[in-house]
Amino acid sequence: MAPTTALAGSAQHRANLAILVLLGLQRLSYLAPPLVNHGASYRFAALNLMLLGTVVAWNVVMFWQARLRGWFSPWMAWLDLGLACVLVVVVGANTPPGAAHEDLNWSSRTSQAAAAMAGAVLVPAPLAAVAVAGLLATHAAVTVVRADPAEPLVAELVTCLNGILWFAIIIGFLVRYLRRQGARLDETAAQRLSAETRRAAEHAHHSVRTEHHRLLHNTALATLTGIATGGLDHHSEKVRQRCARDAERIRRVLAEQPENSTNTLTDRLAAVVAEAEDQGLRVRYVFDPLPEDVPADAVAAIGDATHEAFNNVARHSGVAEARLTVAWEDHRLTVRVVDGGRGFDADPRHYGFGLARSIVGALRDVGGAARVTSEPGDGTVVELRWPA
Amino acid sequence: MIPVAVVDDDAMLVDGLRTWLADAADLRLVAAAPTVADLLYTDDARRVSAGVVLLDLMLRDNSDPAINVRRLVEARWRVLVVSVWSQPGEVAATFAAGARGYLTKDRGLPALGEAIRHVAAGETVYSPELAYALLRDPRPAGPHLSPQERAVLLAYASGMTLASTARHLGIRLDTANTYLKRVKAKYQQIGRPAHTKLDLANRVREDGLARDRVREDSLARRTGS
Repeated sequence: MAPTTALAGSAQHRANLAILVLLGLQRLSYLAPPLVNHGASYRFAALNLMLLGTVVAWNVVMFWQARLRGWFSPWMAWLDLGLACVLVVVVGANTPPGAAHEDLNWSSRTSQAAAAMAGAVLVPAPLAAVAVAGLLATHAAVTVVRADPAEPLVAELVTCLNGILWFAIIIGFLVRYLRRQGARLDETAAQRLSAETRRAAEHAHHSVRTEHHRLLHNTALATLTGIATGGLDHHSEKVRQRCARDAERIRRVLAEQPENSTNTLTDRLAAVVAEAEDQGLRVRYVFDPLPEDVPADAVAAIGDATHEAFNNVARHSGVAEARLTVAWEDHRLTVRVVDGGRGFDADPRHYGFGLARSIVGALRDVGGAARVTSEPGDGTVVELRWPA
Repeated sequence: MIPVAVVDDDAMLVDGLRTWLADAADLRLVAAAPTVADLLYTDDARRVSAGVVLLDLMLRDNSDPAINVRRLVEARWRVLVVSVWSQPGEVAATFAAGARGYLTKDRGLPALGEAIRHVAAGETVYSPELAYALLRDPRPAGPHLSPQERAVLLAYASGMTLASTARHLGIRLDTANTYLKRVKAKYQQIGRPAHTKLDLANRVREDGLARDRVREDSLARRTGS
């Protein structure tokens, strides 16, 4: 039932503070006249002074506590209501009867303040309504008991109860409205903050990647390339030390970088490349960044067709090297498997089963298209497009 | 004999290259240096004319690759950029700065020798990696390429030869060649710095020549299509 968990500096917190000041000023305006007139013609002037002192002390304690906590606790509102009820009875009894003295009865003002407090602090709203109803009932009872037979009772009751009721409603509405606006402001601010954080993180990610690229380029990639092309002799002690150093650097990089999100088509094609390499093909490839939402049947068809194209290179081209190019331009995917092998007569009537069914047919089934160009002696190009 | 120089800070790779070049009859390694500045200060390099320099894209002195290319071109070197790995924008910038080609180091030494010979003969080496870099050049300063030029670049990026490119795209061989030349002209257009009035005058004259060339190209395209 705690009314708020206020965040320092947030818009909700500021809304609470504004209401707290408003309630404080209301009380100040109600207590100032009786404090000035405390010696006036009460039955017991000392009792009046004592009651005023208690009310002032209670308010100082309550507002000090509320300021510390950021908002009022429900028990404060209940205690304040109870005190207001007691005042209604005691101050009423201490005030001499008759309309001429009615202004001296300051308990109706403290009741309005307590009603405002209950409307602001007590949640849910029905609970506040019950509390205020209790106060109203006390007031009504006292008014009836002290009624001047000369005055119309109903008019007096309406005047008195009206003020209390409306203060509770107005402040209750104001608090809830300001908090809602505050919450909205907080939400907007949080969204902006998170967007800024994301941008900063992306920037940082890019910097880190650039740094890693540079590191890999200068170390492991250079070393491995040197060994692969025969430029470096991997049996020599010097090169082995260099490999160990580079491996250590890669381990460091891996330790600090989280895995990027994966993409199904990219994954599938990467797996196809790995399979082709297992078959003994050397595959050079370039990949554009691919969209994440390629349908599963298209991913399967493109993957299978690419696999079949590599199969054809391995079986028929006479070379052990092929290139895979995966381009994404203008919302269209173009996959090419190119070899520099012996080629063939690319008349579609002479396509074998693999070419006709696993490549051309498979792509057509998912809304794509495949084309094969070749000429004896000048390599083969298998091109897959999706959508066609 | 083609004089060859290497700018690479990987001493072991330079050693490997030196060993291999020693066996190539028509290639001679005249100088090797870890940075462009070092190369340009060596006497051996200064005596060379019409040489080919193999320039590593990413040097450890963090020098700008395009500026490296420009300095070497101004010193009358023909530049072949090599790297184990690269970003498309970096490669495109070196091409705009006047590099004659780009190769990845994993291409093997015979392919490298072949590329050096082409560059020495004044040709441009359109490797698949260079074509891909030009196609994916993310820099806003990059030239606008026509759909036909992009199609030829994509074919080259896929590893296709000029002949298979022409066959695949259904165009004539010389038309495909013309598109490549036009890509190069567009890149060199943006790469040329205009420092002085004399440069500006040269630029204007070249632009006039470029217009003539485009007219030839459109003629070639009409006959090709």
